Amino acid sequence: MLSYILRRLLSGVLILFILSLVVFVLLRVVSGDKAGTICGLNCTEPGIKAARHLLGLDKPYFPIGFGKGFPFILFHPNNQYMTWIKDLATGHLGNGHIDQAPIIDTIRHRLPVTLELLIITVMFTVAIGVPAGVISALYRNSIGDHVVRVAAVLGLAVPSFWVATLVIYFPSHWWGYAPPFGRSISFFQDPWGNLRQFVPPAAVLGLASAAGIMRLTRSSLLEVMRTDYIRTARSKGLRETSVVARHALKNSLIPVITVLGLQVAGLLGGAVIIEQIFALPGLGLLEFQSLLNRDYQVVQSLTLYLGAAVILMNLLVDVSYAWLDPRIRYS
Amino acid sequence: MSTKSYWQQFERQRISRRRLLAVGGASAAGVAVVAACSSKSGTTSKKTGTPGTSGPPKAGGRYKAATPIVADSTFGLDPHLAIAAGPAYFARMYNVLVNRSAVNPDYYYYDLANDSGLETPDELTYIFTIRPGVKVAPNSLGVPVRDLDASDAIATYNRINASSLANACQFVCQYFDLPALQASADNMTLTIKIKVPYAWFLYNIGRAIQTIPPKELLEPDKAAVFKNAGVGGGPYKIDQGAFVEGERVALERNPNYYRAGKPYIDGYDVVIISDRSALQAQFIAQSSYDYGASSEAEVKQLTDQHPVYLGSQDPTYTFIAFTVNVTQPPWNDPNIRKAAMHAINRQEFVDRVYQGGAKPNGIVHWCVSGAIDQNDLDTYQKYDPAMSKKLIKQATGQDRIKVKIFWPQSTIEEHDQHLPIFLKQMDDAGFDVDQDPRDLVGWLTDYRTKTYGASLALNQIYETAEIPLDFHHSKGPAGSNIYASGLQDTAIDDLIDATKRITDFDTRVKAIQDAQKTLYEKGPMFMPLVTPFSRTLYQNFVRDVPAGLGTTGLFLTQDIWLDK
Repeated sequence: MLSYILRRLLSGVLILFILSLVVFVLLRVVSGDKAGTICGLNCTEPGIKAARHLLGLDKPYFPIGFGKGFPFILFHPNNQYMTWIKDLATGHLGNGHIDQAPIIDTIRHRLPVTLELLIITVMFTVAIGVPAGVISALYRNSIGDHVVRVAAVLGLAVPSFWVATLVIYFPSHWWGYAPPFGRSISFFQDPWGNLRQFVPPAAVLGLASAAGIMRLTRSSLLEVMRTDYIRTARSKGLRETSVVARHALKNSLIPVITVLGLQVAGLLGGAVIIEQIFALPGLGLLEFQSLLNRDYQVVQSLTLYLGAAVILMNLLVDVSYAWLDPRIRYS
Repeated sequence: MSTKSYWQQFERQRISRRRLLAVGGASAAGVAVVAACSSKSGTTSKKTGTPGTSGPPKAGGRYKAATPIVADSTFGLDPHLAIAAGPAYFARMYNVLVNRSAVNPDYYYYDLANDSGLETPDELTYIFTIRPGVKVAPNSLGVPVRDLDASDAIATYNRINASSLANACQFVCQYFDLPALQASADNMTLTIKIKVPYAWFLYNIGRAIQTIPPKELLEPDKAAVFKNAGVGGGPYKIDQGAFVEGERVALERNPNYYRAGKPYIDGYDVVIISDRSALQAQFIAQSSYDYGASSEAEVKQLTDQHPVYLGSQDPTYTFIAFTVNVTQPPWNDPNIRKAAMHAINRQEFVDRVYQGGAKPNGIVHWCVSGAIDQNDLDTYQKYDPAMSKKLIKQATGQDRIKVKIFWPQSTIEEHDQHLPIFLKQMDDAGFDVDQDPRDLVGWLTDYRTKTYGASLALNQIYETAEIPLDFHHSKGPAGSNIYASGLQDTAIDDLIDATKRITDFDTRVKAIQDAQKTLYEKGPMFMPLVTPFSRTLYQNFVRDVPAGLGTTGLFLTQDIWLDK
C-alpha cells in the first residue's frame, strides 16, 4: 500500500509539472497583460514599460531561449517561470502581480471561506443525498421513490445560479431579508451571522450535489442488493436494517465516494458562480478576478493548487476503497 | 462680487486681468445651485435630491453602501495612480484646490484654496490662497496632524509629473510650467503657471485623480500605505485594515475636518457585491442605502413597494461610443465612416435599453456646453440605412461591406444590451460584421495600441467637450498617440486645439459646435450613442444627496445625513 501511495504521489508531481508548464504558457498566449490596465487612462509606451517592469513581466519567460545569431541558445537566469517555480518550492508562492501581496497570505485569507463553504455543502450533500438514495432504493417504485427521483431530476436540471438568485430574491421581497453579503464573518466571533452567511450558498450548492449523490446511491444500492452475499446475509436471518446498514450500504458507497471526492476537489478550488452571487470572498472568486485581471502569478498558483487538490483527493478516494471493500488490495 | 458674476465676466467677456475673486458663498456650504442641464423631469436639478422637508441635519450614523465596482488592486488608494473605484474614495479623503463643476460651470467648490482664494492676473497664471485650518485627520499612518499648505500641492503636482503612470499626467505634464510652480514663504499662497491658455484648467485641477494628500504620504517609503489606507484633510479617512481589496472599505469621519459640524455621518461601510440580485436584496433589506436601478420598471417596482425614493434624475456623463481607426481600410474612406454614422438608430437604444430614460448624443454629450441642438443632430447624423447602403455602394461598388468590430465583453451590464441592437443596425445598413469580442484586458491592450479597425468602446465620463473632440485629433484623446488615430487631418487638429485655447465662454461654445459640424462633414470617427439619466434610489432617511453637479458631487458627500 505504501509503495502504491508513493508511486501515485510521484506521478502526481509529474502531472503538476506538466500542468505548471501548460498554465504558464496558456496564460501568456492570450493577448494583453495587467500592465496595460494598471498603467492608467493616459498610459503611453514608457508607462507600459514601467508597469511591465514593476510586475516583472519584462523578464524572459523561460531559462532557455533561442537567439537569431551565435550562440543561438540563450540562458536567462532571471526568468519568469523559474522565479515562480522557486517560489513554489519554498512554499512562498510568490507575490501577486496585481496587489504585490504574498499569494500564500491571500490564499490563507480566502481559504477558510472556501473550506467552510465546502464543509457545509458536503454536509448538505451527504445528509440529503445518501438517505434519500437509500429510501428510494429500498422502496423502489413507491410514491416516495418517485418523489425523490423527481426531486433529484429537478435538482440536477435547475442551474445553481438561478436557484441562488431565487434564494436571494424572494426573502428580500417577501420579508425584507437578505443574508450578509460581501465579507466573511468568523464563526467564532459571530456564529449566527456566520451561518446566515454560509448556509444559503451551501444549501444551493448542496442541492445539486445531493441530487447526483441520491441517484448514484440509489442505483448502486439497488445493484448491491441483488448480489449473492446480500441474499446469503438475508438467508442467515439477519434483520433487513442490518443487511442494508452493515453489508449493502458500505459497498454501495464506493462510486458515491468517488463522485463525492471529485466534488470536494472541485469545491476546494472554490465555487466561482456561487461565491460571486453571494459575494463570498473565497478562492473561486479570487481565481476568477485574477483571471480577468491577468494576474498570472495568482492564477498559476491557484491552478496548481487545484491540481494538487484533485490529485490528493483522487488518491484519498482510491485508498478509501480498500477500507470500504476489503477485497480491494493495492500492491 | 459673487463667484458667479466674476466667472461669467471671466468666461464671457474676457476681462480677467488682475482681479481677485471675492466669493459670495458658492462653496460646498449647502447653497442650492441651478444646474446647467435639465434633469429628466424637465425641471432644473437642485443640489439636494431629497424629497420632502429635510429639516436641520442630524449628525451621526453610518452610511451603508454596496457597489459592484472594486478599487484598483495594484495601487489601492493611491490618488494619483489608482483607477476603477478609487476616485470615489479620494474625493472623500483628500483635498483639491478648487473644483469647478463642468456640468454646472457656475458652481465652484473651494477646498484647500480659500473661498476668496483665486487670483488670475492673466490667462496663464493662477494664484491660489491656501485656506488655513485644513487639518490632517488623526491617524496611525505616521502622518503628522497639521495644516495642509501649498507645499503639499507642489509635492502632488511634482509627483504626478514624475510618474508616467499617473492618471493626471496628461494635464500636469502637458500644461503646467513646473519650474514656475511656487509657494510663498509662508506656504499660504500657491502660484501655478501654465504654458498655454487652457479652457478646462479649473475643471481639471479639481478632479479626484489629482487630489492633494499630505506630502509625507508621497515620500517613497510611504508608498505601501496607499495600498490599503489613506488620510488627508478631507471629510473622511481610511484606517489600515479597513480596506480589503475586492471585499470591503470602511471610511471614518475626520474629526479635524475644517467645515464645522461636517461631515454629518460618522462613516461609510462599503461592501463589494457584483451580483445585481444580491445588490437589490441588500438595498431592500436596508443593508445598503443606495442602489442603481437597471430599468424604469425596476424603479417603479421598488418605489411602489418599499420606503425608498428616486434621487435626482440628472444625466449621467457616460456613453458607449463606436470608434473607428482611419489608418485602417475601409475606415480611411469618409463615405464608409458616414455610412456607419447613418447606420446608428440612437432612438432604438433610448427606447429598448433605457425605456425612454436617455437621450441621443452627438459627438459632444447632449448636456455639455457646446453640444449641438437635438434637431440639428437629426440632420447631421440622421438614421438612414438606405443612405448607408448608398454610401457603401459609392465607396466600394458593392452592396455590402465586410468590417471587423471588436469590443470588451461583458464588462458592464448595459454594454451587453447595446451590443445586439448595434450589430443588427449595422447589418441592416449593409455592414457584414466580423465579430471580435475580447476580455477587458485583451481589448484594452489592442485599443491602446490602435491595433483595431473598429470598436464599440467602453463608456468613460465625458463632462466636457474636450475628450470627444480629441478623439478626432491625430494625437488621440490622451494627446499621446494612444487609443485613437483621429482623422489624421492637421486642419482638424488645429480646429480642436483652438477650442481649448478660447477662454471666452460663448466664443468657445461656438467653436466647439463649428468643429463638430466640420467633423460631420468629414465623416466622424468617434460616434457616441446615447446617455441615460441617473436612476439611483435611496432609502427614505437619506438626506441631502448632492445632485446636478456631475463628478463635483463626489466632494460633497460631507453634506449627506441620515434622518433616523
